[in-house]
Amino acid sequence: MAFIQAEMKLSDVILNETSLIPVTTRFGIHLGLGDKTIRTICKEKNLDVDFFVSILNTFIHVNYFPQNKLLSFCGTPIVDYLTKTNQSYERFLLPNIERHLNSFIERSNPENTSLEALRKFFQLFKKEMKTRIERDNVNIFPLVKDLTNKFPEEAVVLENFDETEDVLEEKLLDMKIIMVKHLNGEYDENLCYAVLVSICNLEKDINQNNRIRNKILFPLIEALKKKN
Amino acid sequence: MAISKKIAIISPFSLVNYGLRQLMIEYFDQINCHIFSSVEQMMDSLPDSYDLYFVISEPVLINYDFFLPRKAKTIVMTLGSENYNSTSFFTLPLYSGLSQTIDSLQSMLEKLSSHSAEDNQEELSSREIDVLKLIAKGKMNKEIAEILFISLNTVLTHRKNITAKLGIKTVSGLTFYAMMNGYIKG
Repeated sequence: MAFIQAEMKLSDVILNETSLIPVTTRFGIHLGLGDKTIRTICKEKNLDVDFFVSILNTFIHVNYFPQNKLLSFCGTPIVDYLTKTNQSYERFLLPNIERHLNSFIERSNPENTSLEALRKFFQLFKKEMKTRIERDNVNIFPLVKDLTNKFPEEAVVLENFDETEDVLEEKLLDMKIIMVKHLNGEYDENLCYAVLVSICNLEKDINQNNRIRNKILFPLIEALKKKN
Repeated sequence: MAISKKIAIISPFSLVNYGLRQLMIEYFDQINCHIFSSVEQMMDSLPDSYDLYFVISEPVLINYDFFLPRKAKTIVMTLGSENYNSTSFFTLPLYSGLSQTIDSLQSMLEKLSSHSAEDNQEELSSREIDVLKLIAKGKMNKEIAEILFISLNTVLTHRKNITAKLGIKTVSGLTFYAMMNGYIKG
């Protein structure tokens, strides 16, 4: 997909790259887009068009990361975007996997006990994912907003905030590997594919947004701390 | 998982360099391209650490002493007028169409992997299964060493081999693998 620009029709962009739908939804943009350009839609929704376009391009182009450009937007829109991102993990992407996984296990041979282990593995992942989201909401995001609003004395000091960061992604990868390489017994092939696709969707989303977390949000916290 | 290949792209033409790198990134996995405007510049950065050299013809002639012993790893990007047939270097004509270029790149990379890739599709040994069971029960490396009467280093080696064979990195991934295969009860 070509580089996205503000004068493009958002409907064309999404037709080319449907994986952007969860991203545009986070900005409160819903389908039924007609022929409006990105600039027009942003104006109507009162969104910063540069920020919106940067996020879309960062999401679809794996090798594109405009760190300086993104750092130039202040902390609030980034935190707002990541808050919405976390909400969409909790409300859509995680339940999606769970729904597919449950029907996958129900429709497969009940004697295949290995699938139950997969369910337990996912439950563990989900629990850790929710813990991370909770920590974002309670510690990290308010800190960025505090620092941005220049109330340094109220800011919480964060320690080891990215300590568990990679473990979560590794679990997701392991779940994929277990399914692709080590699945055994009889199972429903169609639903198995649905489970894998939903895992891949979440994985892609997390990986893309981790770049924003690790290279924008955390450096921003450091920079704001020094400035204050 | 395959080890990524380190590739040096050497030419004074930045559009050629970046274009080639882009193609590599778009069409092939596990590729790590480094761009140099001259052979001299590459010589400053561990010149022997690359798996493959893409280079235009003139520097090859000038630095024949370097490239001749590395003939199997060198690909000469030709503009059309040079005649490299007699030297038996691999050539990549810059005027080719996209599909043809990608096909040539693929066959070059395949040739390269056939030397390095090993088929590591192996079953776990009975000792590795013992270690896996204990990992799944939440034992630490030191405890595993004591229970199995082996050294800590041996435990670490087993763990490394288990991960290499199964492709699973995390402790919880290994635990659920053990469960799925009936090594421990769920």
